[in-house]
Amino acid sequence: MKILNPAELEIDLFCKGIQIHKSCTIDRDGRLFSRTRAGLGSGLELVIPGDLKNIWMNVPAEEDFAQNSPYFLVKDHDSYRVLDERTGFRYPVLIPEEPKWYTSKTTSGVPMHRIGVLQGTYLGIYISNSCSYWFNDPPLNCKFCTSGFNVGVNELAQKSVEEVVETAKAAKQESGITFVHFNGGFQNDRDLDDAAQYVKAIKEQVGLLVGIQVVPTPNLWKYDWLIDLGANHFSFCYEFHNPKYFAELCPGKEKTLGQKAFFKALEYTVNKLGKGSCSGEIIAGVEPLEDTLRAIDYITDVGAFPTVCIFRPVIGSDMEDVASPKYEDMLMVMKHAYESCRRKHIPIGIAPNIEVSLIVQPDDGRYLVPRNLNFYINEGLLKLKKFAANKTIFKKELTPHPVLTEEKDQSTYKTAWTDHTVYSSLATGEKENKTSRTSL
Amino acid sequence: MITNTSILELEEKLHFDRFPALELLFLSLDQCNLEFDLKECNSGVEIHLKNQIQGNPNRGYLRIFFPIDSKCVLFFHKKSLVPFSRDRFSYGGVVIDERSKSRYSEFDAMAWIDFLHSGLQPAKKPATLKKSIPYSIPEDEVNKDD
Repeated sequence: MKILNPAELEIDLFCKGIQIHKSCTIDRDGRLFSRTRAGLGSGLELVIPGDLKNIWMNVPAEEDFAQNSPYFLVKDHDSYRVLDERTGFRYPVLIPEEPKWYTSKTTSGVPMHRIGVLQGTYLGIYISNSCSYWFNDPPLNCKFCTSGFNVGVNELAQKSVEEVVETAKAAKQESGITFVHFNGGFQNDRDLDDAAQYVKAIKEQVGLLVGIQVVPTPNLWKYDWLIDLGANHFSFCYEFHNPKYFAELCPGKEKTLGQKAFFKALEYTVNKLGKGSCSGEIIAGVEPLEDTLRAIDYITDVGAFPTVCIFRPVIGSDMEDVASPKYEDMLMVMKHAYESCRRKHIPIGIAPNIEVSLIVQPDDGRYLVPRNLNFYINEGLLKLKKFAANKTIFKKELTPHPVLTEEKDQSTYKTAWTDHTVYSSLATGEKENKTSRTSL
Repeated sequence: MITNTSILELEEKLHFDRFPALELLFLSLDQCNLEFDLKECNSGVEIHLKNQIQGNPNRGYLRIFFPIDSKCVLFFHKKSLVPFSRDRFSYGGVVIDERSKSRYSEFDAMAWIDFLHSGLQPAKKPATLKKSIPYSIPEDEVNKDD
């Protein structure tokens, strides 16, 4: 076996998990384990250093399959390493410290880690009071999710605007975050309405890039409203490209929205915010591989970037006994994600200091391809784009500024709305299953 | 079979007279001839079956406690694999009310044992299990040997 590069190690750790050796003192050195949102953040946050970029990841440590992992986190003097007991290789890793603000309290007296947590280098905040799919009888929750067990248990169910602003300010000042990501479960088309107040407050009082991840709305004008309030990014978790898997494993989304709603909202928001601004989120390792590759092609075809979660059989979820995916399969998927972005000139890794630990980021795939002339040309282009975007967009977005749009009045958006988006056949539901609207 | 504590010694603590479902549970456990640990806690007891699940120790635990005099809670959970962590992962619970003594049968008790024996496999969830429990779950006591 060869020594793995940082992205290969990341992928293998996502697939196999890690055991934590008794030599480790994570309680003193690392971040608390916090199972929030859908439950993916339950693992060990670590950083794999590399020459192209440092890779942040959240390694599964609590799930049953991690008990059989060949990987062990060991502490050697003051340094941490990931030991592969099959080969004896020891990979140096960094354990990010727990931010001091985690234990600070908001004015209302709530510890800030119960408002939001770092997932990599960004702040993740669950804004809704759990997900309505869990309260159906029988439940309609997504089979891989545990959010119904977490909200109200490991994190506060109701978060005030003041609590969110205070937490985001502390995270910006002390941890240097540039991005806050709001997500939530199904709220019967109240999702964006609930997010609006937080988005505006962050823009006016903190100055951060803002992402929103809620189920899509058929009222597409709401996205215009949220964009004017300050939203920079929307992500749409449609999870599975194969309609049968989507219907079976996401019964709530199938019943209340259908897959088409996700495609339509994704294409609409990309059209509004520009190439590389929004993402389609999928889970790899459950549906057939060719469907996952097709999903990546579709997402990049419409100008979005793919966020691919390696399936984690999260403890307590309906799918906790499903096997974790194979490393070789996931390697192929992640390489495809990077190459697909590169081929279609999707700007990836442009935004400042946004490292997502729960997924393999498309630009982690830079480690998975040969470093030839094309590679270096692409690297150069990305650097130029990054420089330009920092000057023109991010500098302004990271400074608090007034927002004139009303967070409680949507009337003008509702009445004066027109849609000029050219949708794909997937979004319109045309019989021809043609995913491309741009030539490859 | 009971390996480290006698049921008789715990009978008073578990209030079999007020919660006959618990007696059914322990009788069923004994009939199944399963090896288990029974740990006495300040606020009740905890059962852990000693079988293996796919070559690993069964991670399922059943905590029995009494949040108020008239209620007994069966809390199914797993414990964290991380050495320093005291996290518990809830799989739901059953709230037994003193006033409805005959609500739970031997069949229900067997379903609880079956769930526990499976290592809390989702497919084995008992019909009586509720996702949320309207009581605070007592913290695990720190083992002096740890």
